Amino acid sequence: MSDSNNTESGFETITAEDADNASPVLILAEFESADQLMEAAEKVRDEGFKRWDCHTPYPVHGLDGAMGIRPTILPWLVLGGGMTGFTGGLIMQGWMNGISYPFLISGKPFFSIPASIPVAFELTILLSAFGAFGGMLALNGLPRFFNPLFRSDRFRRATADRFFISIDARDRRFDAPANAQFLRGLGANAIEVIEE
Amino acid sequence: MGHKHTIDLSTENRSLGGLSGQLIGFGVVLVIIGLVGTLLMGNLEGAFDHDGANHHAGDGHAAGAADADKHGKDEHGGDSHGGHSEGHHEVHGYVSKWSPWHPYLVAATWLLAICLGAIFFVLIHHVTMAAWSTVVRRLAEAVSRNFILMALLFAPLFLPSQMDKLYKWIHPDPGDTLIEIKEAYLNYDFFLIRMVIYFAIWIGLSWWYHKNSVQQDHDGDLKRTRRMAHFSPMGLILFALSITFAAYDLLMSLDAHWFSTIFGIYLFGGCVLSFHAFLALVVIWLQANGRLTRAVSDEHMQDIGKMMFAFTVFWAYIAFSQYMLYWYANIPEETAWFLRRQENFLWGSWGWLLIVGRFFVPFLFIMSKHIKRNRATLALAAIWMLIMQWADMYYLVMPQIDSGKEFPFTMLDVTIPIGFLGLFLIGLAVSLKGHSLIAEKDPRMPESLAFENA
Repeated sequence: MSDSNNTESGFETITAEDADNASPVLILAEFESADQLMEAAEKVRDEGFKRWDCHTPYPVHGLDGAMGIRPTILPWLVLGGGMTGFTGGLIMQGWMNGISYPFLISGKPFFSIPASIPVAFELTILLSAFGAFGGMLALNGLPRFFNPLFRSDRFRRATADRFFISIDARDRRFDAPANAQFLRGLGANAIEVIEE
Repeated sequence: MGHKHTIDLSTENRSLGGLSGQLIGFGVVLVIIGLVGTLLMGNLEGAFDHDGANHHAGDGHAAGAADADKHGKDEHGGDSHGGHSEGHHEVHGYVSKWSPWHPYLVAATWLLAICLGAIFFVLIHHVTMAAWSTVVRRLAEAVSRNFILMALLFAPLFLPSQMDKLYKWIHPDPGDTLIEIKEAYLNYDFFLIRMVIYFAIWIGLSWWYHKNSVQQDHDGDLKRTRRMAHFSPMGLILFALSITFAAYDLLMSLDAHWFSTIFGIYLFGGCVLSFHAFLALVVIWLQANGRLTRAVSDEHMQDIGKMMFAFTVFWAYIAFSQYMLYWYANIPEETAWFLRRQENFLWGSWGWLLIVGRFFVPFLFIMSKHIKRNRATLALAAIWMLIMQWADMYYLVMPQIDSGKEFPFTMLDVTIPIGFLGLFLIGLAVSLKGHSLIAEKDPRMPESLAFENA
């Protein structure tokens, strides 16, 4: 890892040591407080950035709105999982107990709704949970074992007492020097460009 | 968290003020509708009919018993019907003759459920030291003070001359061993003692929590918060025991042969559900009239909606747990209660009404957060849930009446609940009047005002 200090533009550049033809992958801005971050996030949102994120040590209420995050489709995935579990559970038991291997137990019908509800209920919960967990991972592009953000030593404080905004180089408004100046103007106390 | 979420209460309209007149006026109108409707259209004959077909010598209150015998003959061709062991002839643990006390009991338990849910709300939020609910806790305290009204409404039911219109165990059929062995518990004196204890617990809890809360408005004494939290676990234990046994006494003993250990929790689920529905309506009504418009936000409404959603599921879970175990074991003593509710089209349909109308419809409707945060849709769900609570109480009380061949629906099923609701709203107006609508100096108020769903 090599660090270079671009004092003119007011940001540091962090480059992976083994990188050939390194180019920026993201720009990182550090803020002192959640309030500063909120205000900055609103400005970044209004500036029209699309591929960017905030990193905070704890959940900051209202940040979703400040970032302009649109509602996720995750609830629909959970609903789909739950309904699959419920109908799948009923069909499975109907086929097993009623068709594949009918077995008379204490005079009950081979297949009956009351007896099948507990399993159908549990499968509803199970597949809803799978939908929520798997859907969350998939929508977030996880698991991901390395993120260029980890090259920054400063970023470690994102789990303690600092607040960060990162802008992805794939954003069509990405332009390291211009973005650095913009973020500095929003009150960032340090700017880093991470290259890979 | 940020500064912009701080809400200044000084400009908030947080007293009932002139609205108390509106609420009392609306209550009076409902009472008049209920009263006039009852007198005009209601059939009150059964209520004071003491000397109907008197079957037992020296027993002045056997109208129900005589009817039950008739029922037995109609259905099975006489008392000597065989097949029962240990002297268990055609005896019934329930009164099978309709009386006006049946719709009366349905309406009274319907509103009692809201009060029980209210005192539970107060206690559980103290025991967990919850902050989100602090802005609406005063409303719950006020609703729970209606226990005094409920005691007055229930009192006529417990008159010795009237109780046998509802409860067969007052004058059981001769040779009814199933009731005889329960006599140490199911007898009039002990029943009355228990009722006094239940209402003493409920009125005492609601009075004490309301008193401490409104006094804190004036003295701001933080020790009160600690004291209320400190006593809440004991209060919850008293609540749990009293609601369980009250459910047994008031509703389960309508059929004294039948028993279900989960019955108290079944009633409890409906109580908490209907209180949150009622609370949502009270808040929406207050806000429509310019009260608490900023103190209670969409975030709080969403949480009230979450509780409505949660207890819709809870009710279904408990109702199904009760049903499935009896269905599976298939022991006549236990299934009789459900059989009576399934063997004919009317009560079979009513059961489906509860499954679909009390579980599936509200479950799917109120699942989305947008529905919970929108006042109109939340109010719609709340009204629906309160109607379903009434339908549930109806399902617990009414199918005892003679084999359900005829639908026991009368105008009293509408007029009595309307009249009682009127009294309930007047009681609420009296409780809310003269105090702030929120717990002014509760130490958790700032946290509650700033509450947001993550």
